Amino acid sequence: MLALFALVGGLLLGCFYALFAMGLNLIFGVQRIINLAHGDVVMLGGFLTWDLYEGFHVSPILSALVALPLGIAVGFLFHRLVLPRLDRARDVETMSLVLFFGISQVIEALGAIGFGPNERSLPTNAIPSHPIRFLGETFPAYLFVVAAVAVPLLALFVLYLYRTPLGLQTRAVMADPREAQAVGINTRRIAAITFGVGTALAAAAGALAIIVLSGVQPSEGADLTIIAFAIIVFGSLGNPIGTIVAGLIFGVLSQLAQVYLPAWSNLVPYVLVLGTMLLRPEGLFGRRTRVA
Amino acid sequence: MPEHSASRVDTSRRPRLLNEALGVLVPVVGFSLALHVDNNELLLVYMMGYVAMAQGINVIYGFTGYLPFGYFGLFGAGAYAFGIGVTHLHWPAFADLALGGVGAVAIGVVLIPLFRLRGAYFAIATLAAALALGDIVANPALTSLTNGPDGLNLGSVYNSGEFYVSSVVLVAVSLLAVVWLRNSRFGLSLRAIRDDPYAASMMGINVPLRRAVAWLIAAALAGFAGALYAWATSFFYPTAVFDVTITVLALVFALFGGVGTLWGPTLGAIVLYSLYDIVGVTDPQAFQLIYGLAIAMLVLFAPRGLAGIAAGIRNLWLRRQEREVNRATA
Amino acid sequence: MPLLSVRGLTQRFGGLLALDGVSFDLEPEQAIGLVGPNGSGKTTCINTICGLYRPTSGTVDLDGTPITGKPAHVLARLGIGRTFQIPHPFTGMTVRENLLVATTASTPRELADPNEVLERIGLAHLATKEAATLNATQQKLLDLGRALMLRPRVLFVDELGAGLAPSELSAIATLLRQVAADGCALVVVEHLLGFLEQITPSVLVLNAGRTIFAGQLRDALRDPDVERVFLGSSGSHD
Repeated sequence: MLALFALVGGLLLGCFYALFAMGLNLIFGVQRIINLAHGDVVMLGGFLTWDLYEGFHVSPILSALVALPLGIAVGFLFHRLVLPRLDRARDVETMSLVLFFGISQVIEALGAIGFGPNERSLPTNAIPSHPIRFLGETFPAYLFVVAAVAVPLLALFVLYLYRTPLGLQTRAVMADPREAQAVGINTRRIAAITFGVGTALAAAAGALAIIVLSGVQPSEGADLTIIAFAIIVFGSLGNPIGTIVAGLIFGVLSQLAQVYLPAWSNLVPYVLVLGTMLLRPEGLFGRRTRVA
Repeated sequence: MPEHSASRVDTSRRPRLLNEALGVLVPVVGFSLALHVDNNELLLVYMMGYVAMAQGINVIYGFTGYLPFGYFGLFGAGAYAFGIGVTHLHWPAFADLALGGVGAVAIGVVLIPLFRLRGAYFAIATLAAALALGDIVANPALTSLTNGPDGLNLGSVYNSGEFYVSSVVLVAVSLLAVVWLRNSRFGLSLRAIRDDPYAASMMGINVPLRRAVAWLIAAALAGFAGALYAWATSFFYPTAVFDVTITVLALVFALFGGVGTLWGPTLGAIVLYSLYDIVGVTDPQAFQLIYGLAIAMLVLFAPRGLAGIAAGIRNLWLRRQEREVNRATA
Repeated sequence: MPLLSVRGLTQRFGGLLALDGVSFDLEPEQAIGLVGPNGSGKTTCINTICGLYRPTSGTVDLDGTPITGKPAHVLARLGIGRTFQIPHPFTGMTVRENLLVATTASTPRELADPNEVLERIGLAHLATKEAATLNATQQKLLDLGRALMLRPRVLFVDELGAGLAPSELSAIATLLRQVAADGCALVVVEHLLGFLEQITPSVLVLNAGRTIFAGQLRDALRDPDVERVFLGSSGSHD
C-alpha cells in the first residue's frame, strides 16, 4: 500500500533529516545565529565523501564518521577566527545572516572550483542496495542504511548533550547565556565548540546526503539550508528533541508528497517554513524563541 | 560645564540639494551618453538594472531595516510578467513593461504578511518564498503559462532603442525615489519606524502601512529591472531570473557603496558590476568566490561601505579641526 | 462621564499574571499617580492600555468609546500619549527632527508647534543636535516632548523622575503641572513619592497586578494594606 510505503520510508528518511537539521538548530540554540552556510557544509561533506569513494573506495558510512572530527576542528577554528569581529556591527542579527550568506557563496565557489560545477553521485554499489521487504512493502536498501547510520549518530549527539558536562554547559548557554556566564561557564568557548559540533553534524549528514539525494552539486547549498531551516523552525527553534520530531515528520511529509503530488513535492519545505512562521511561529513545541 | 561648540553642525541646505541633484543627474546623463563610449548595450542595460535594484535594496533595507534575501523573486516576477504579456497577451512592449512592474508589486503584496517576522527571519522567509516562486514558475505543470523549465523566447519585441531608454528612465525613477525618501516626511517617518516601530506608532504613524509602501516601491524597482532584463535578453531560462545571485549582487553593490546614501548604491553598482563584467563572465566561480569574500569582508570590516569609510574620514577630520579650535581658544 | 475608563484589565504572559483585573476611572484633566513596588504591573498597565500588548481580558474606554486592543497608532491619533521608562529617542536624527516625526503622520489631531514644545521642555538650544548625543535627563525631556507633539488628552508618564537631581525634579514637576493645566489628563507612574506629591495628590496603588488602594496619597501612606506592601509589616513605624 502506497501510504504505508510513504510512512515507513518517510520515517527512515526522517532520521536522516533530523541529523541533517540538527547542526543548524544547535548553532542557533547557542548563539541565536542562523548559519546560512549550513547547506553548503552538507554539500562539502557530500563532495568529500564522493572524493574518498572515488579515490580510495572508502564507504560513505565510514566517511560520515570521519567527517565528525574534521567538522569539529574546522568549525571551531572558523568560529574563533571570524566571529569575534561580528559583534561590532550595527545590526548584528541581520549582519550575521549576511556574513554567513557570503560564506556560503565562498564555499559554493570553492566547491565548484574544487569539484567542478556538475552533480556528483555515487555508483549504486557503494552501499548495500538489494531491496528489503518489510511489513509487506518493498523498500530500497539505502533507506535502511541511511537510517542505520543517522540514528546512532543522533543518539551519540543526544548522549553528548544530555549526559556529558560539556553538553550540560551547552544546554545552560542555550537556556540563558547571561546566567550561564554568571555561573562561570565560558560562553565564548562553548559557542566555538558548539559551532564545531554543528559543523560536524552537517558534514556527517553530507556523507549521507549524497546517497539520499542521489547526488550533490555546489549550487544546492541554499535549497538545503532552507530545508534544514524549515525543519528546525517547525520543531521550535533551539529545541533539539523538536528537531528530531520535526525531521521525522518532514521525512513523512516529503514522501507523501512524492507519492501523491509528485509534480509539486519540491515545494514541501517552502510551504512548511512559511506556514510555520506565519501561522505558528513558536513551532511545534512552543519554545520562547519566536520569529514574530 | 562649558558649552560644547556644536560639533555636529546642521549642514546647510544648499550643498545637500546640490549633492542630491548631482546624484540624480550625473548617473542619468552618464548612462544616456554611455553608448557612445562603450557600445556594449546589454552590459549597460544590465548595469542600469542593478543600479535600480541596489537603490531598491537601499529603500527597503536602508529605510526600513528589513533585508529581503528573496529580492530576486521580484526580479523574476517582473521578467515573467513581461514574458507572459508578450507570449500570451501579445501586448506591445511598453504595456508588457508596465505589466512587469504590476506583477512584481502583486507578488510584493502577497509577501506583506512576512513583515510580521523579525529581521533575520523575514530575510530567510523571503528567500524561501522566492525559491518557491521560481520552482512554481519552472514547474512542468505550468508549461502552458510560463513554458515551464524551457524558458521564454521574447525575440518578437526586441527593440534596443526602446529598452535602452526605458532603462535610463528606470535609473532616474529609482534615484528620484531615494531623493524623495531622504527629504520627505514620509522618509522621516520610515527612519523613525526603522529605529523604534512602537515609539513611531505612538506618534500616530501607521507602521505596517508605511513599511508596505516602501516595500512595494522596492518591489516595483526590481520588477521593472526584471522586465527590462527580459526585454533586452529575449531568451532566458527560469533559473536565470530566479537566481539568488541577483540578490547577492544588488546587496553587495548597496552595502559596498553605503546603504542609506544616494550615491553609495549607484557607485557600488557601476564600479562592481564593471568588475563583474571583466572577471565574472569568463570565470563565474572565481567571481562568486570574490563576491562571497567581499560580502564577508564588508560585514566584518566596513559595514557601512564606502560611504561609511568616507564619513569616518570626515569625522576624523572634523574632530581634528575641533581640537585645533579648542586649543586655539583655550 | 470619565475620560478614560479601565475595567477588569488583565494581562497574562504565559504563566505570569502581570495584571489582575485593574480598574480605574480618569476624569478629564485629572492627574493621578500610579504607584507600587517593583513588579506590581505599573509599566505593564501602561503598555497594555497604550497598545503595545493586547489585554488578556478587560476593557478600556475613551470618552465612552471602547479602545481595547486597538493598534498603537490609532490610540495615538485618538489622543493617548506616553513616555518610556528608558527613553530612547530616534537615533540618526536631530532633536527637532525627533519632534517633527509627529508631523509625518496623517492625523486628525491638531499638532503642537515644534518650536513651542522645544521651549517648553527646555531643549530649544539643542534643536539641531543629534538626539543620540543628549544626556540622560535631556533624553527624558525629549521623550516627553515627543509625546506632547500630538497634544494628548491622556498622557501616561513612566518613571520620569528616576535618576534626576532634586532641582531637575522640581522643574519637571512644574512642567507636568502645566501640561495638566492645559487640559491633559495625567497618569504618572512613579517611585519617588515626594516628586509625585508635587504633581498630584491622588494616587492608585498597585501590588501584584491588583489595585489595593485608590484615593489621596497621604491617606495611602496610612493605609494598612499599603504599608504592608511597601514596608513589609503593618502597624510598625521605624
